[in-house]
Amino acid sequence: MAYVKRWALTLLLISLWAPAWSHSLKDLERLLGDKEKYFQSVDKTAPDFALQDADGKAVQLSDLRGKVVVLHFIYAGCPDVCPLHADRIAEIQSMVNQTPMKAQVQFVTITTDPKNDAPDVLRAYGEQHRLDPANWAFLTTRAGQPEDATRKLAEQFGHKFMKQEDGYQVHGIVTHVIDREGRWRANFHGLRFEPTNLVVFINALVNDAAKPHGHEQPSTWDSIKKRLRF
Amino acid sequence: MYDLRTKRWAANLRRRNITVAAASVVTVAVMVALSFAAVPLYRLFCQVTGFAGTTQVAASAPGAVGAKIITVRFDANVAPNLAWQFVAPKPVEVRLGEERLVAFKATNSGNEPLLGTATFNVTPLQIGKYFNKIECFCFTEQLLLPGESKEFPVSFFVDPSISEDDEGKDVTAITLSYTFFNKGRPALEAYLRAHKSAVSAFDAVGAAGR
Repeated sequence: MAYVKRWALTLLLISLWAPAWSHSLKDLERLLGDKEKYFQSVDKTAPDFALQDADGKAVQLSDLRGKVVVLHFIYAGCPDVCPLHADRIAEIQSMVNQTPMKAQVQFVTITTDPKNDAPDVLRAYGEQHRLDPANWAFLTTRAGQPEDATRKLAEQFGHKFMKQEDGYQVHGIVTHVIDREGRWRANFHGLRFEPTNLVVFINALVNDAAKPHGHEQPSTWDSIKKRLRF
Repeated sequence: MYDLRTKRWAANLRRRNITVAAASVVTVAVMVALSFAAVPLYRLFCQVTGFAGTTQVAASAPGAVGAKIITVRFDANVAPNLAWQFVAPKPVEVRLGEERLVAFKATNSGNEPLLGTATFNVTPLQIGKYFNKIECFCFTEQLLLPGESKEFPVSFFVDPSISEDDEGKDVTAITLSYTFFNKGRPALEAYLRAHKSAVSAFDAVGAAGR
């Protein structure tokens, strides 16, 4: 019986230990690639924007360098998926804000209907969906910008908001994640992704997990190059 | 005679044509396979050799350097919807570069299996880059069955180059904080399906112990 117990425990430990050391961003991307079908890894400079919040304060993406940015597009008059998307973002925000990450992550919602989403609509929307204004902003166009400026911006982020004659917009649902240096690092598609997967991805970016853990040592290639120089 | 020779020649030609066709198909298949494998192979080559600036990482601490001692405190938090008790180890004092192993401990105090995953943070925030974890449990799924306790080891060292940083040289205490979140029911069910053997083994051990 003792042999069976030992064998069973060994099997248990082996099966649980395997992923225990994966804590770099690359490891995490691989893990999410396998487990989270709504996760898409991206690595390119995020399109910059110059918009304003409900109080008229100018906000540019470049102003948010040093923070991880979770960005999405919706419009207040959207009757179906946008409220659910806002609720999902609020859920993620409440998880992030339970941790020291609160000061290092900025949530950004951008309206694709600036004509109808007046400042009071933007403010009320945040309250309705329990989005914490401490690190959340609802952005719209500045005076003088074209009415479709934010829809064009959404296109730069890879998806379209197509305005219909009845005022509604046909669109997809994507949550974008931008790292502290302004690089667009991931998309989480739809509403069915697992919230903790987005939270740990944000955590990896907050902690600069792309940077090496441990101290660097000269690579084989560097050693060869060094020897060839002499 | 002539017919026999022609037939042999034709059979030989057919065999050679088949050989050439097979070789061509194999060559094309190998080339297609290599084109798909090129990216991972190149990445592997870079990782092994350090070519193209790929960083290689030491798996161990550089060893204690200098006399400066830093107090490392630990903080353990659990999201409200996760019925776990999560206990942090006591603070430790380490010299720069000295590797240290501590263990957090979590217990499932609920009456159903729960799957958690942890995020981590190092404060002061600007010091995080000098806090190196060689082994940790962040980002990975952790299952605790009802009443089960598990220790989560963390092996770390503080990079000696902290003493050369204007913001870091006066730091005397660092806090490593973990927060466990509930992965939720669908993730738990998927985990249990994928790890049937592990859960059965745990049950077997539990039954043998009872």
